[in-house]
Amino acid sequence: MTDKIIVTKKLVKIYEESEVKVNALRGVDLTVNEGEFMAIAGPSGSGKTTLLNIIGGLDVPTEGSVVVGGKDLSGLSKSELSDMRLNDLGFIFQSYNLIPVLSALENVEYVMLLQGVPREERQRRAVEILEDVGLGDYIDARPNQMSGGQQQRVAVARAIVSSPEVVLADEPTANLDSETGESLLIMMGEMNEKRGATFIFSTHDKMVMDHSRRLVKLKDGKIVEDIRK
Amino acid sequence: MTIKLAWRNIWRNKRRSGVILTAIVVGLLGMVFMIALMDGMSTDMVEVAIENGVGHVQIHKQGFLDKMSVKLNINSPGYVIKRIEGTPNLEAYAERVKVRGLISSAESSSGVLIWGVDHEREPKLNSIKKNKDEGEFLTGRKGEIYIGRSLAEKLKVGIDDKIVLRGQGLATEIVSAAFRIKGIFVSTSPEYDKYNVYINLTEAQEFFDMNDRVSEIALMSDSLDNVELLAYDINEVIEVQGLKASTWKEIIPLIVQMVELFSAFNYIVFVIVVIAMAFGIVNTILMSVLERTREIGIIMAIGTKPIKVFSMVMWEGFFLGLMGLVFGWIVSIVIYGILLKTGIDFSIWSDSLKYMGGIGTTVYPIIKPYYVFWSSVSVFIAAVLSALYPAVKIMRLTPVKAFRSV
Repeated sequence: MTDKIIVTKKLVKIYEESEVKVNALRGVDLTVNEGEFMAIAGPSGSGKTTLLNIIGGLDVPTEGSVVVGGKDLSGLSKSELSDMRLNDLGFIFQSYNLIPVLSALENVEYVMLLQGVPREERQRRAVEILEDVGLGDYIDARPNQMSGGQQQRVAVARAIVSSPEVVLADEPTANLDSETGESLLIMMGEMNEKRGATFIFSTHDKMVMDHSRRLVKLKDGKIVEDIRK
Repeated sequence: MTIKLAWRNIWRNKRRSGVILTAIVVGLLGMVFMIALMDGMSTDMVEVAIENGVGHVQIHKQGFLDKMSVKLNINSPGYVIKRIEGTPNLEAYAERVKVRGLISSAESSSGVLIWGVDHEREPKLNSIKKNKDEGEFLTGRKGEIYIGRSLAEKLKVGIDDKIVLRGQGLATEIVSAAFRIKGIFVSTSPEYDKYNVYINLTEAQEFFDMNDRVSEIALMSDSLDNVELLAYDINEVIEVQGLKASTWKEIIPLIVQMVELFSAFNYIVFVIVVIAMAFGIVNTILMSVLERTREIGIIMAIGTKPIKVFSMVMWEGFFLGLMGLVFGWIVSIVIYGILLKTGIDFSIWSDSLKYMGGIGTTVYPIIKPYYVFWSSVSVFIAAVLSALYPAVKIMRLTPVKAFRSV
């Protein structure tokens, strides 16, 4: 039996911006099992990024609960949330993923450095994973010396190098051409199978939806469809 | 990693970092040189005053400095000199008669201070002989007078011309005698030249019925730093006789006040420069940090604690402050080395400078270790503290707010 890694119950998120209230989420119940390779899809404004941010401890819900890896996030302080993101989660964003002044190796090492992993082990694991994602020749390259696709591969490497329970990817292929995007997805699929990390994508890219084994569709802050392939 | 990130972040935008470094270098340079210049001018003023006859210490009858009366005199100068000879730090001394009087020529007259001086001892304490412009300094012969150029012009007299001196004698009401102009001097102060005239000591004593008495004994110390000690040691010996040794600070309080005014001005300049520089740096570091808002949001999202973000920005301020200080001092040393030889030419303001204690038109900056230390510390602290506001601002950011800011 697969463990439930993420459980949200009646999640509501209301933003108040200049006296205007925006209901980003209107009671979302979602359960994610270990090892899933899933996409949360929907048009702009459907609440998918908001849902991902709440699961990732980057935002707090107005109502409802979210449990990640057995931890109820509502009971965690800012510092504990930060530690949870460091140790239990991996993040891949649409852009600006990498620290521009660090090399590919140093970017991948960064998270392990924050975790206190010793230098030798840090470097060994970073080199290994960069080779896994096909960037063994770009270890010392800076982000501005790599293509968009290569930068996203480094971001994936950084996200999974510390073996997080869940990898959250917000529109990871949005700035990539289709060929590069597909190549990235295939690589992440391999990481999912090889390392068992749970992948959750927020996307409106059909290619990402097609590659996912589960598709949760959001509309106006509610789940309207949940398809397991 | 925080320090490595901070160091590398500085060089992301070389032009911007160059602007900050230039601000620090210029700030430090401006501060150091303004202070060095003021100190140079102060030192010049003091040196000119001391060399123009004030000396380091003067011995008088108590009350003489306030009234300058011929009746307040040292009646056994030989005895006093015997007591003070051998005092540590005493390098030279000279006896003087000083009486206020009037000088007249056929064309004009003027109120003057008449100095009766020893023609051999006086030049060791007074630059008056070096300032000779025409003729000769006193030779000890009767009837000689040595006057300033501006006075000579006023009286319309030249070398060998006759003038009459009048003054208050000790025994009689008013005394007068004729003198011939032996030499004419030009000092850095036209006012000094107009007001002071020199005759021989023995002639002055005879002229004013003083016998062996003198108005003052001027002393030179081996160093400006030992003046207070010299005056203290002398006073220990002479106070019992109703005499007082006064340092140059007590004799020319106006110069002391001007020096203190310059010092106060230095502090004001100091503060203004530091504040102006700090505002410039704050603005530039803030821009650099806000440009990286999304990037910082992401590193906070992946687990970097706000305190690490804060310390990264503070390290950036630290490195900028340190580099600014190092470059600032390298540039300052080079420029100081050049100015030490050439001085700074203020000849376009020469007329005004003559009335500022007679300082010269070329001023040499003086950098004191005290100011080096405090200006360096202030500049460095200002640079680091300038990073504080941007560091606090960015540390309070949450990842979600950071993502929305783009």
